[in-house]
Amino acid sequence: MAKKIDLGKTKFHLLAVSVAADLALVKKQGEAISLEAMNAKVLVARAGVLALGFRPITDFMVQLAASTIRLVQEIEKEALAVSHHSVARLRTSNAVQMAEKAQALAKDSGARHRASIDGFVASMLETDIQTNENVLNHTQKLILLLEEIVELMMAASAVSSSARVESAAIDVRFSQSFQSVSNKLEQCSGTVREKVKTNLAVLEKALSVQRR
Amino acid sequence: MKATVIYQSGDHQWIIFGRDPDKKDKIVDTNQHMVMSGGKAILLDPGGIELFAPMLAAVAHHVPISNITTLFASHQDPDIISSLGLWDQVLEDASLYAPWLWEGFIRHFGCDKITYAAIPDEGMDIRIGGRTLTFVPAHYLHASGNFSVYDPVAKILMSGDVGAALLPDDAPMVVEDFDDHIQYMKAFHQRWMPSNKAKQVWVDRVRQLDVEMMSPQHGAIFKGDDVNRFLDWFEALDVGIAVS
Ligand SMILES: [Fe+2]
Ligand SMILES: [Fe+2]
Repeated sequence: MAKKIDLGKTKFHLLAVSVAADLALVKKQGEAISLEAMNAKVLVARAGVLALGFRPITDFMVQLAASTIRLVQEIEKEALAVSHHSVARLRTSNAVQMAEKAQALAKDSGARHRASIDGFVASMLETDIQTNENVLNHTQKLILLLEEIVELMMAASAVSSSARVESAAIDVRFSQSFQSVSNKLEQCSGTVREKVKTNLAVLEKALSVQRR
Repeated sequence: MKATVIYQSGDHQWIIFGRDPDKKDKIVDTNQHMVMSGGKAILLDPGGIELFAPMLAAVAHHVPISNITTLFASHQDPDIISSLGLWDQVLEDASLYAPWLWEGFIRHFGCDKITYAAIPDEGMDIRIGGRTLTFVPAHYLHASGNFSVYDPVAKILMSGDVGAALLPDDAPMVVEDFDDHIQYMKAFHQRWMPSNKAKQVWVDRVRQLDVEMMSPQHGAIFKGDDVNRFLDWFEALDVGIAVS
């Protein structure tokens, strides 16, 4: 008979939905980076040879914005999958609970055909375990995607530092504008990391509780 | 959950499950019917989620669960069929016969493995083992798509919410004093049955059947002369008038 698992610990369907909702902010930051990148490109064009060192930085910012938005979209999809599988799990574990209750009632009252309940309770437990695996696997994927965003933002932070150095070296007419672009990039990166890390911690804790 | 065998002839049986002593207070008491023949069983209005576990256990006293090949829902109400999502995870290769009108709605209870067999408005016959059951139109009584079930051999009519009575917990399974019983069903029919016209169509239709027992989804069974007494009473009752 299948191993009995503890039912209904973490409400992954609620958790996933709240992660997705929280990450709407990350998407906004991605869009903000994209806007800043455009801004920087215009500046680079205007500054010409005076801001040559800044060109690769704007290219990176464009890429970064695109990657962030793409990742958030993937996260939204994965969060939906977690939610979907978690609701399915809710149904299977609910059915198992009910069937086990029936099993006990049938046993206590000496039902003639109680063995016919035992058979499908075992197979329902198998289904329940499989459904739970689906929830855990998709949660793991969700965590990986969030970690990818954190890494991306670490890179953004490093680039914003060199951007600041670069801005200081640029002609004084443009220096302040480039400085402001660098600061905004750092700001965005910080906000996103903070948001994502909070969600990561919650998901990792839920996953470890459910696996235990 | 109490089980009462109301008909038996060979392997052809009618059993009512109800009067569940562990039922929560605010849940209306329901009668679940099971008809068996030739090693097959059909559950008529199998009931709500709350009743699923005691129902399953009670059924296992009479048949192996795998013998339940068919479910029937007279209409879409939760006390009738909200347990569907749970039966769906228990039964293999089963079918649910229910009004075609309610398919898109009843499926909200969860119906992945079970086949939804849509009953057309005019009703139909099905075979359970060696017996035939007829789904008799009972539209607007009280749902806009609604059926009663008739067994011409047992001469039993499972009338769904028609004939329903909200009785005290310890009430007997069979109506003993029709006049006294009226107090438990009058307000129910006036409020829940919306159409005098639909009511007349159903009464006329049932009068053509040979019914020895009429068994509703709530309350008690009408036997013998009480069947006609009910039809006369219902025919004369002005329905759809409880609130203005
Ligand atoms: Fe109803
Ligand atoms: Fe009902």
